[in-house]
Amino acid sequence: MEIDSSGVSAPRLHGSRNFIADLVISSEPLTESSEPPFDAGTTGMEVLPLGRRRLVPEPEVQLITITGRSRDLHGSVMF
Amino acid sequence: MAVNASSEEMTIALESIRGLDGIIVKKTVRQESTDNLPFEKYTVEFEVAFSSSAYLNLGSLGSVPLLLVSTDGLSFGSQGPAASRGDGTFFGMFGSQFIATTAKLRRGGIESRARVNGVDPDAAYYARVRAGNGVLPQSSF
Repeated sequence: MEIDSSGVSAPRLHGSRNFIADLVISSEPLTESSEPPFDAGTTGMEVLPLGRRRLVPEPEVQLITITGRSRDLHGSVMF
Repeated sequence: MAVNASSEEMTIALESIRGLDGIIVKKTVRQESTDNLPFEKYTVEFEVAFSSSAYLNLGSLGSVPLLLVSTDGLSFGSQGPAASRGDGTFFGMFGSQFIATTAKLRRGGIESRARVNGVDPDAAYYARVRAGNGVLPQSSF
């Protein structure tokens, strides 16, 4: 099973730093007033999720490479 | 920016660009031997990591525009034109010909897809996804 969470976002505020998303997969709908199932997939009235992942932002990494034909590189570059 | 700048100097230079902060720079210097002239190659690498705060300031969650470099102070791109003394593209260079390039080692951001293994093909499953920004309480969607 594959879940696309690309459409999920949180309100952005000036100064906010973290975007964190939780993804919970359950065999039962997590809605109010649902009947508590008592089968092999549950513990009492609590429906256990099948999996849970916390997705955190990965930093982007870029590489600047400067190569010369000798060790006397004393130039400059602009970005 | 001097080619022989330290990682700290590169960090300060990049963070001086408007909208960029939270930069971590790691510098590596390599000297390699070659079979032909010039028999040695000298490489300076700056590995630049952009933290999540950089994304916010750039208005982009994840991918950061590629840094563009210039060796002549005129044209900018992912590879600056080779610069050497006397070839018309000299730009503060006191050594042999050199080339500067920029590339993405890893694209930043949050995974947008998740794969769950070991599920029963005949069963119904439900996924709940929630997101937060570290300031407001988390919201479910």
